[in-house]
Amino acid sequence: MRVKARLRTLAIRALAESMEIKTMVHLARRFFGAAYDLNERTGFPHSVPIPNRTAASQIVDDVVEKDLFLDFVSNLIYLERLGMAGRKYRIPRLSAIISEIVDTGYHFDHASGTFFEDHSVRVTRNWGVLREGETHIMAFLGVDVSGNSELVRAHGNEMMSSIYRTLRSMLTTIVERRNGRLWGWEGDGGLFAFTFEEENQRAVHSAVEALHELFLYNLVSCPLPGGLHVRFTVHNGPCEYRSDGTELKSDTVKRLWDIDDRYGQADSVVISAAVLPSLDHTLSHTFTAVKAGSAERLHRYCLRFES
Amino acid sequence: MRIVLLTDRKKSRAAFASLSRSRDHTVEVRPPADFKAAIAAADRDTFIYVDAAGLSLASVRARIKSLVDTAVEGFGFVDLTRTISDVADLFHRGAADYIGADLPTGKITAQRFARILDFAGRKVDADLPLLEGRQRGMQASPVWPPLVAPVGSPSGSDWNDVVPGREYTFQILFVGLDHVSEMGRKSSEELLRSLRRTLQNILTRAFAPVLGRIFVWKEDSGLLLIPYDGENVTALIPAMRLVLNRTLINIEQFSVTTPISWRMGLHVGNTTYTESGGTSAIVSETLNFIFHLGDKAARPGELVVTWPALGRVPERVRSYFTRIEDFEGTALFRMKEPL
Repeated sequence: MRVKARLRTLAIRALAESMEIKTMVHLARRFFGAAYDLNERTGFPHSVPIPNRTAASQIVDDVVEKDLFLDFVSNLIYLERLGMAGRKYRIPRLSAIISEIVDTGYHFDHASGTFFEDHSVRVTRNWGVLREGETHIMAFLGVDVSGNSELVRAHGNEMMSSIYRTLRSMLTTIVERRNGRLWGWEGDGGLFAFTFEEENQRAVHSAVEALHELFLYNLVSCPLPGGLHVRFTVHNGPCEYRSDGTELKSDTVKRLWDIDDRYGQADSVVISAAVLPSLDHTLSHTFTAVKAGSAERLHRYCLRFES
Repeated sequence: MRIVLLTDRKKSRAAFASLSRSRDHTVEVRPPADFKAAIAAADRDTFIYVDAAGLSLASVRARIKSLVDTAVEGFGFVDLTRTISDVADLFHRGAADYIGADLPTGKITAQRFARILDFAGRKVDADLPLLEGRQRGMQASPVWPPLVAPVGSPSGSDWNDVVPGREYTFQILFVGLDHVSEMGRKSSEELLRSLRRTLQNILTRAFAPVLGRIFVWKEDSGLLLIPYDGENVTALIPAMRLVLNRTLINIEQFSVTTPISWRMGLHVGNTTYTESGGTSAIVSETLNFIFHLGDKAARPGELVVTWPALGRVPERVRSYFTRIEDFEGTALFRMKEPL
């Protein structure tokens, strides 16, 4: 994130006016580790006290340089709300800092205490905040068109590519409304990622809505005589973020495709055992166990109507 | 596809071994005595195979009759004991498959089953509208009522040519919050106000793609006007979407512990258009009709549609509606409840 001079100045003043040097160093060591030496960073010998403003300026410069500014501000918010080591701190200009950040295309999620990019302004696959090599608990939604080869044989590549573009766009809209991200799309299917708070719920809600939307699409818009039939799978687990896309080979994602391969069914959503308990009971009771006695403990949702 | 095989014979089960490994289908084996329960639980995603072993000709025909009247995708017979002598008769009566004793074990593959589904689908299409009611679970009155064009001038496909003070034909949607008196006893007035506001916001967003506008709102119910081009009813799909996504909407947008329910009624009729605030002076037979429709004919959570509206949507959309008692002389249909 590019931090403008005004925002940087606001942060320096907020830090300098809210705490003494010792607390600032304590805060800085949350980001840089115990070896962080403010005297060494500022060039002041240990025998000479560092002015508050100079200390704050150095710390803010360091967090900006390491691209940790959003985490730093999240920490200031946390500090004002809950304090540190039993003491609360009033951070002046915090509202102004948050407003400045929001103006650059982020929004603050109070539930998770984290800044995310505002998807109406910008959409990147790391939400603007995931860092290379960091491991997060994530929920994934896998999408796979049923009978792709037969469809391409019957209707041709051009027509199917156009239908898949429509499908991708429809699903991306549904997912991004729930702060999910498209992490990969290859021809007839793709992978959407969700993280931070309530990732399981958001992934399953997206899948269920997508299933309904596809039903309506087949009713009125789909040019295929038999309609388009898709398998949706939701699974969660740890995943190390890699900007080059190699996280798509993580164990969690591999497991998702394994579930899709073995248990996925056209026009249904299959979710793994760890996902079900996160759901509101009004939704979870619409899922049924995939196979009685199966060690997999998967659950499936299909759209059915009274006969 | 959910395939239900009604048999207690090991050989019949073995015939489906290959199909049961398919990722697109599940094979559920049930004893023959479960026939009634199986067809009661069947839907359009179900294909039923009946093992003919031990059945008399009369029993086979009785089962065919029950299956034809059920909303299954299709059905077939497994006849490894050569019980059925006139195989063609099965197909004349509506079956889509026959698995005889000469078919090698394991030959019922996913590819073969895809052809069977294709055949079953074509058969249904060829018989429309006669079989529509039976195959798709509609009431056994598949002949649609005659569609009479509303008297009046359609508003046009958007609002550009609509002049306040003049009468036009619109798509008109009634929406009413259910169980309000019960909620009023348990909840604060502030919460009720917030629920009404949330519902109005949901409606505004849901009908924005078809240019719908809230026209009248009285406490717990109101009407939306949607432009009508004289041919196509565009408001039905957004209304169906609200029914399908009711659970999600409750979780994500209402955020209250008791699920919120609303009923809807869609009609095509005439009213004088006025800008917001001027609706109290409108005297319209159609508006009276649709308020009565929403209050008297639609039960909590339901979407009901009059024939003048349902008759102007594609045939395959209509199959998700079932005819109910006429209302004030107008044929009325109710959207089937998602389970």
